[in-house]
Amino acid sequence: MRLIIKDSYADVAQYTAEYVLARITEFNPTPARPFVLGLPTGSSPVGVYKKLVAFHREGMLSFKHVITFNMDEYVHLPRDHPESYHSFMWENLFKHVDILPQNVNILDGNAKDLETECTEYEAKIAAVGGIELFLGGIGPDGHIAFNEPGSSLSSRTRIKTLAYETIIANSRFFDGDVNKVPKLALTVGVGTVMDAREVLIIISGAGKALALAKCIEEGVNHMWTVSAIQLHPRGMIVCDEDATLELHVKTVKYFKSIEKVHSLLTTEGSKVGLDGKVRYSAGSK
Amino acid sequence: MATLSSQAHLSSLNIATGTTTRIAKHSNKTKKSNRSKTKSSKIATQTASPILNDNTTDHNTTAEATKMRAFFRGIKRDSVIVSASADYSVYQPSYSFLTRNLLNAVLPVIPSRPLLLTDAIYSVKARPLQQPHSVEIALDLSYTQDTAVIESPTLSLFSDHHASTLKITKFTNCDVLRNGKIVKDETLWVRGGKIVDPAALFYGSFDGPNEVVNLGDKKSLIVPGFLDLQINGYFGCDFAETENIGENIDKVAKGLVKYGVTSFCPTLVSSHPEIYHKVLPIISHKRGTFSGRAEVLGAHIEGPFLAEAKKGAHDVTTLKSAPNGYADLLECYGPTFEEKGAVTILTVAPELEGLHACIQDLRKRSDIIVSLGHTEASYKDAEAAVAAGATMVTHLFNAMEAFHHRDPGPVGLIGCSLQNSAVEKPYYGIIADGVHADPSSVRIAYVAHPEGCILVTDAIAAAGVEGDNFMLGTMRVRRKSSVEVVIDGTDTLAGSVVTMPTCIQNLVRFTGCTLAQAINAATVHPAKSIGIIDRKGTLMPGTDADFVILDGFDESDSSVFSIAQVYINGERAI
Repeated sequence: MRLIIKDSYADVAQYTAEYVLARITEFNPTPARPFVLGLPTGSSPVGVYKKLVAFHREGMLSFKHVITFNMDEYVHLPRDHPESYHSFMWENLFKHVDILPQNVNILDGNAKDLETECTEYEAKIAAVGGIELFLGGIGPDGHIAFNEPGSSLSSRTRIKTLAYETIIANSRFFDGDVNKVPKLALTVGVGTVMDAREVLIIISGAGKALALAKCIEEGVNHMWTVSAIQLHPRGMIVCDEDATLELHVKTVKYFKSIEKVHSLLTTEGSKVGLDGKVRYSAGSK
Repeated sequence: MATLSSQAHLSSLNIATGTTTRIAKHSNKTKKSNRSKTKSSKIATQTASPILNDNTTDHNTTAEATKMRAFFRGIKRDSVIVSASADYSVYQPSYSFLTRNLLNAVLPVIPSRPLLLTDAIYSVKARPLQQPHSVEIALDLSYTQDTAVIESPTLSLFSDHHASTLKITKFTNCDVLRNGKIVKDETLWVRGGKIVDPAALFYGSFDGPNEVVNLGDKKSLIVPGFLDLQINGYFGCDFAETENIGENIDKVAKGLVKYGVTSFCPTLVSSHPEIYHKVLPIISHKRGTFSGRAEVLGAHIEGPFLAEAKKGAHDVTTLKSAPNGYADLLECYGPTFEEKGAVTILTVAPELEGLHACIQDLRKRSDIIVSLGHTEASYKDAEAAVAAGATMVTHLFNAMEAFHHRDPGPVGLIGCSLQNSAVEKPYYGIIADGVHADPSSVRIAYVAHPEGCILVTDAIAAAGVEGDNFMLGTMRVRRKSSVEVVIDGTDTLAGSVVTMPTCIQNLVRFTGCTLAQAINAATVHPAKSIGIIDRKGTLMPGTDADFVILDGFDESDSSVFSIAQVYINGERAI
């Protein structure tokens, strides 16, 4: 697992957006071989989406051959409610870029049969060949997507009841009224996220510091579901200084030193590619 | 509607009429089969005339849509669960047949956008190639105490199946003035001459844009097209002149587009009955939207039921009162007066004999907006007229009693004391050319009643062209300066030569309001005042795609802007 520590949230957003840009560009997606991206919602990825839109406007990034899968969606919230995750993704990303509507996949919280919706979602992911890069955030209780503490670490896409803490945290988007917040959500499972070929978690702010510490310094634990990333062959966490407040100084120093070496290696024409593979001859993939 | 089988009651919502009928479950089947039989014949007749070319039925402003809006206002929830069946017409070479898809959705109750329901109705499983022909919706009201039941006819709303094959244009990298507020970094999607809700298309029918217009080169703001509710002529053309009235309207409609005006009410000054009998039918015939021209709304008839002492530039020989009430109006204007939509606004002096009864009659019989103007009415008279049904004041300050602190006259209607006044403040027209009213007067009026302020030009033939001598009805007018036109031989103002963009800029400069607020006075407020807010003025989904792209802003002076592009009915006109 890589832990990249940046100074502030703006730097986190910049780094993550640049990484996504570099990955997609290096992958060079085509209609036959599209880039499958998993996307989160919430406050963490907003800056990342802004930067991605800026890259698109400068002509550096096209979403034409990108297929996206979102992590979650509320149940029985109208699709065009301003707080639905459909609206969030529309306002923050899809509106501004050239992604094809058929390539956008978001769980439908108003489907007639929610369980079928979940199993079909898993099938759709498998049908496009699995997710290449899954972006994600983390909750203060260490959850990924809506996989609240206690969720099975091998879970798949399913209906989840939201924890009271999550409802309180989300009430700020619903006029501060906890009764207005939906109580059920559809979410990808921990297993679904970890099945992706690469996972990148964005962790920012002091409020997430404890969760980050529990997830990377202690064991794999279903009470802190992001800790499943410890078992992922290509996991990455991008965080800012505030989020490291609960980590051991030794941990922070260690990861900073590794990244220093890594950044020296992954330059243009270097021996190591973004996917970590060593290039044996200059200019070849 | 067998989909919501767990519900004890279903209410069938007729989306066209907004009425509900509670139906017991088992009789659904019989009703449904009856309906589908009659429906197939209805659909057959409907496809012959696609909605787009049908100017006479506007589903947003019909009485049915109003009823539906009233219905949704009564629902005390944020959203309702609906199940709907949508009929699709499938065309094969030798036959066509109807397929029906059942679907359900949780839809938000948004009173101002009733047609959003049809946007959101799509089949869950089989993605249709076209939008549905007709949609019938069943509302799940089993958990409410709502018992309002009205018998509903069986007509359903037909959506145009051609619309889905039309090109979608996306305007991006700009700000949009939507529903009166500026939304930054927004996109505007246009299809089939209407603004569409992009998220609904994107998620619902997988429609992406066919064409993307990137406005990122300069800081751009998309605003709704301007409406001018009082315009007597322009470019040398006078609407009260009978000889070339048709060509005059065309010429003005074409020429106004470069000023960002996309809809206007041709205004007729006081004339003899023969003139009205000749001109009104032609104006009515010219109504509607044509490529590259501003839309002609109904006529604004200013007179001849006006006070002689306040005639302004009107011909005194034409003025009269209405001792026989409504019959006198009909005799003066001719039968076109009663044609729906032919007359949008009628300006009268309410203190004249018979006019108070006329105002009450008009409120009952028609949609005509009654406006008070050229009047000697006291404040009490004016207030009584508003109570009787008048909702507007014509060019506030001009041709009416001046403001007096103990009897504010019609100007006092922008005050309407909360304790003593029984009426709501009416809309009021303001000619913001700096000549008709002192900038300070404009500011006082705007501050007193900002939401009622409607910018009008009251322009005449002398506007937009060179030359000194023109006609305004039967009166000769002379250009006195670059901003003033007067009755020949006097100093009485006779209309104006101002442009709508200048009015907007002046409103910002006179009152200190923001550019968005000033533009609202030329878009949202006039559209609301004549009851076409569902079609114009807001850039909300479902409204007409009449809009103006502004740029050329100045950071130090918020009133400065220039018109870069003008779109009418979704097509570029400038």
